[in-house]
Amino acid sequence: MSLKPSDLDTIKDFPQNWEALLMRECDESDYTLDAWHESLKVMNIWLTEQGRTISFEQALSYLDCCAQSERLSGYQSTLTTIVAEMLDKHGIQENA
Amino acid sequence: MTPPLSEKGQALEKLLAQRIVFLDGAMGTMVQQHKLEEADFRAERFKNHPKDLKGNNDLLCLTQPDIIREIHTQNLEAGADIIETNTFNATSISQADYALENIVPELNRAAARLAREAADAFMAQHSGKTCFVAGALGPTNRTASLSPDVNNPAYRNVTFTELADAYFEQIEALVAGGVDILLPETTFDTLNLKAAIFAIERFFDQQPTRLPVMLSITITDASGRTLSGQTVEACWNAIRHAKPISVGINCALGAAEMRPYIQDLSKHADCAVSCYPNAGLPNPLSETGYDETPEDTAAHLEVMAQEGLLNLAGGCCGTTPDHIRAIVETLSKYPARKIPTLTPTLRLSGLEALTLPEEAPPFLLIGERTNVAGSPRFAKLIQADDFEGALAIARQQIENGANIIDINFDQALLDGEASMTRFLNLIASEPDITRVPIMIDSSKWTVIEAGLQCVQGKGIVNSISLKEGEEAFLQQAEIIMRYGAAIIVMAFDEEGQAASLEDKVRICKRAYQLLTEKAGMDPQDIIFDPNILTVATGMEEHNAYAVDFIHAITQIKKECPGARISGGVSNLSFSFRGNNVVREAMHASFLYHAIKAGMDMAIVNAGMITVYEEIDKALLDKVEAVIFNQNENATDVLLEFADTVKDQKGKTRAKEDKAWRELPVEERLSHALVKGIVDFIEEDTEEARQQYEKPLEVIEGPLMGGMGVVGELFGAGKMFLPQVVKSARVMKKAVAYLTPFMEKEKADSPEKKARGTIILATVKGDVHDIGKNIVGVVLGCNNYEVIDLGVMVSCDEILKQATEHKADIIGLSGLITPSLDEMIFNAQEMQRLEMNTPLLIGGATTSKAHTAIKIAPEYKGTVCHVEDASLVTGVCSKLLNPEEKGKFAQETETDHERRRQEFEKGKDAQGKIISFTQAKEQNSKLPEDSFPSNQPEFLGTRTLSNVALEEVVPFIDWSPFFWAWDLRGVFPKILEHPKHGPQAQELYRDLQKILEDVLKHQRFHLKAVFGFWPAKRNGEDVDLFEDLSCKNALTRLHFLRQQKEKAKQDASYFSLADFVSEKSVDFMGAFAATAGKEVTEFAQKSEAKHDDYSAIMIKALGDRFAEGFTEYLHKQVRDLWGYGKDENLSPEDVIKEKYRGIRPAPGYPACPDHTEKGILWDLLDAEKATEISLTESFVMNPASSVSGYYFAHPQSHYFAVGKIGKDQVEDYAGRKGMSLKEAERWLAPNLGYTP
Repeated sequence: MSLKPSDLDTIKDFPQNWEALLMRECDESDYTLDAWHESLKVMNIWLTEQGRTISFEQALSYLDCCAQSERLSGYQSTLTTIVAEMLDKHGIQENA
Repeated sequence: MTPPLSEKGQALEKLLAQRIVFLDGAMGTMVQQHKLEEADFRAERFKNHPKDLKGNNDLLCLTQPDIIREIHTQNLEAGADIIETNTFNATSISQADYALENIVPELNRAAARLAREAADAFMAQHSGKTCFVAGALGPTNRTASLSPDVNNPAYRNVTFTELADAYFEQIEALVAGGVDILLPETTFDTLNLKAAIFAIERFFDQQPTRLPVMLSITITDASGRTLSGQTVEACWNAIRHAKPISVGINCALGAAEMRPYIQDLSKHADCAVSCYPNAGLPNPLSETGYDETPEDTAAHLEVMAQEGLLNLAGGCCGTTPDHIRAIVETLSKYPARKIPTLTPTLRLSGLEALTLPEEAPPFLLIGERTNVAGSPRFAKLIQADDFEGALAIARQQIENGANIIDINFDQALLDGEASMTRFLNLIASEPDITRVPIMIDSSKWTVIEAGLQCVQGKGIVNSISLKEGEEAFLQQAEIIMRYGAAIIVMAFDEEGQAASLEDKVRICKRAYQLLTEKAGMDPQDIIFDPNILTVATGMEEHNAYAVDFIHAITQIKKECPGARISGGVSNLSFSFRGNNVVREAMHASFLYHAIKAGMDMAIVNAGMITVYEEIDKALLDKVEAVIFNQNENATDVLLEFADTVKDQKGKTRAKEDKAWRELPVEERLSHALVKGIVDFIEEDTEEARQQYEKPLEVIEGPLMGGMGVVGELFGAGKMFLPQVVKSARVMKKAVAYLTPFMEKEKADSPEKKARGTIILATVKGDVHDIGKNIVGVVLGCNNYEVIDLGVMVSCDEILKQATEHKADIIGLSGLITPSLDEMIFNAQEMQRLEMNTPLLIGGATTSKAHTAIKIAPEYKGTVCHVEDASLVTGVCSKLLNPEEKGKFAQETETDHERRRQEFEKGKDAQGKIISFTQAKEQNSKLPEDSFPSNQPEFLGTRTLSNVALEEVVPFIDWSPFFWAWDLRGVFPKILEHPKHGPQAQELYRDLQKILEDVLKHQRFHLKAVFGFWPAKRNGEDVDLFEDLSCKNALTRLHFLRQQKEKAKQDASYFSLADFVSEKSVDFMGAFAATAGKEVTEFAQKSEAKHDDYSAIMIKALGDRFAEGFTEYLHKQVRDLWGYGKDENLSPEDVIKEKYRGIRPAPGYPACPDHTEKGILWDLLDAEKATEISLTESFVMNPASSVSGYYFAHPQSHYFAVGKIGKDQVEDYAGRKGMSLKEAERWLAPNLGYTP
């Protein structure tokens, strides 16, 4: 599954090497690239509903936190589930 | 001297070492089957006896001896090694019901002879078999600890002396009749048992040999306590002075119900453990009164034998020889319990045990207010004969944190013996008071002995001394030992009271030698009081009293290993009577230094201890100049300053009285709660108490109202956790103030009104508790009764406490991955016991997915994962609301099911695992010339223990400190956060205050051990060598490699082993560092003051120091390794780890196997060097500790191993010499497959 920046209109400031950056984070997680793509889409929907935008760097960092959040227990929900729950519970803070 | 053990005793010892030994079954049940009538009981001899005799089973030894002998024989034929005489009620006290006191000696002799004949006849027919006759001593039909008259709780219908005399008479006759063993059994009141032990010891005084003594207690119901209210451990602490060959539990319960208590006893008893249960619980419809078949009872006992809990087994009520046969057949294949060696320590008890832990024992506060000499209020109440009123003072001391209460009636106009007896009998009926050990305080021996005869727990005698010479001293000590109490020995001899350092040490050493060498006393039961004398009297010779005491502590403890130090602190400051500000400062400062020197306990007013760090600095300097006798003017300076201190305090308070002090009291209370202001809480609470009809109304009204505001603000996100914890501190103080009034008025306790009882615990093997403590405070704030069991709590203990307290919810916490298994085990045990209590799961490594997939399926009750403290009240509220709980349980289970399905479905989304072979081929492939040539300045280990805390502060990353309080963000940006900023700033300000204090007093003690070794990669492992020749490998470190397929083409699959050269001599380092046990000790001081806020702050700060110290140490290591010397990094850059090299920790993502810490500990000799120990789950204790490896390769970096395949786990298990199953257990979070 391929993903283009234009699919994610609430996520801005894609650097040139965004795919490599995404792949690097993905490779250090327990999830596939597809799972990361899906999660970016979940985040995009939430941001659209909120009428907000964030940078690609922020989005990647948020997803990385989500991917790590259940890792130590060894039993992880799907990445999209974790991201959806995190957004629902904590949102995305603008200055932290 | 103690006489030697009898020959039969030695034979029993030998048998117990070989196998499980079997006792007989019930006598009464078998007698019942003969359906004897009144005439049968009487026979010819008693046909004209004026009282009914039917039911006096013991009498059958005289009137129907054949029946009794036959029952003994049947039990022996069934396989019993020990038969008990039919003498359960054969004391003059019990036989008085039948007016047969006069035949007691004859009855016991006859009973012993019958059993002896049966045993001897059986042995004659079965050569090689050794059988024993145990003389059974029943509990009697009276209780020395309980009043039979509810209107007169001080009344007793039997005294200790009457019991001891009755037992003595029985023992003499039983031994004359030929018993091999003495067995006081079915003890429901420990004081009765102590009387039996006293009589036994008195009897042995006259004998050339000592018979083995078996003790057996009775746990009456599911409370897990004796009828007189003691826990198993408390009871054991009170009776272990009998040095029994075995201790056990019998009667009242069936084997299944008895198991947790046998488990508990097995853990604490350093002698054999026996269990002879009833045949289940009573059933009046059953023929024998009990339902269990022989097979049932044997099967229940088998569970205990399988667990290695038993040395002796048999049966009690409802069991028959058939039961014994089944028990013998079933249990004979199991080995006997291995008797543990317990760490020597002081073991005391009231209703509950006070066993000092081996490591970091808490400082014990001995409440001094129940002393007519020290408390005018107490004296006044006693003089007015208001003993019930005086109970409130005892209670208040305990509520204020006293661990022990000192009781003294030494006043000329009082009858000391009668007052001591009456007061101790009264408090025996007050479980909230008598749960702690009692210190019986008198200068009059007869008063001490009167007190010892009233205390069922293990108390302390205060005091004896060498004042009247060695003979009297030893005689008193031996009698106290016979009562099973610990002793305070005053530093006083024939020459007088020890005032100088030399005299204190000399007298204590002499007393210690006499007690341990001549009286045979356990050193752990000796507590010295080297006399705290008054300073600042104006007499020069008194100036060194305080400092001499402090120095004496260290020397006495060195000369007298195992002994403890105590003292009465109030004496110190008598010169300043009337000036409590100065007195409290003197006490706090003195205690602070004395505790550091090794003082273990002190007699104090538990409600009036100032926190050392809260003492005004100007006052503290002057107080310490006096305490340490720093100069000859110190006293004058303090005297001059004393009045100023009083004035200043008044002025300061006046200045702080702001507008809110003018508000009505309800609003002031609410304001204090919301703002967390503790200063006026007692006076405002008192004002409210006077306005309301009942003290409980103050709690339910303004206080709960104020907490309601706190709850609302917290729920709305307008208050944050630190503030809530501060509010809780205020609430606790207010409730503590009101409790004595409520008790006095017999008002309903607040607990009964609580929304529910919640047990919290950090599971076995884990020591981390900050998050759990915050959850506890949040729940407490919301009117739940929280019973926090602390850290490293075994499953048994958690479930036992949950049962005991009828918990509505159990909450488990853990920080590291092995704790997850322990949580699963807890859930399994809850299911096995068919519990239905909801189970909450929380802690850093837990997750909703793990809870749903691994824990919830193990337990049919509701299992709920709670992510953080802010959610816990919502969850608890739903779980306990009868209208909501069903729906909530259903929703939770639905969510679990969804997560389980998602997990199954989502396994694909978690990436494919490539083969281990392929992963190894695609390793980092670091070229050989990339390995640096730096050699560390030394090889081997070094320790570091003198680093000042200030040096470490720049290396501290403060962000996690805020995370601990649920304030998410990065420091220092968090301080400016639009939502969390103000609260973060307030928290930061409070942190600064504590930090300043910690730095000023160097409250934590940083310790580290680190080292470097020549290293070579050996496949997936790394070998470390002694020297550069690399001939002698010291150890091997085992690493794991990533296997999750990577999206990037030609990506490397990392292992830490890649960062060490395989060909040339390379180097690796390792370390363990800690902020010390002092972190917990310092936090405990705040906990003792009901100040959870500061306690949590201190622990969180301790963690930061451990991490900062690790960063500081890494900088030293890089410098020593050479490549760090050219660094030009700011502390911020260091915190962001912008340097070369890494320090990954075993148990964390790059090397997730916690068991590697064991190898690290051996390599570094870490426990010896730093006092950091590893728990069975490889958790570092103290919690504020960090350990890890050092890698220097420029390309070394942190990564997560992630999911791995079975091929690698098999390989890893082989490399480590572990079974596959064990490796899978430790690597459970990393398994990319289902084992």
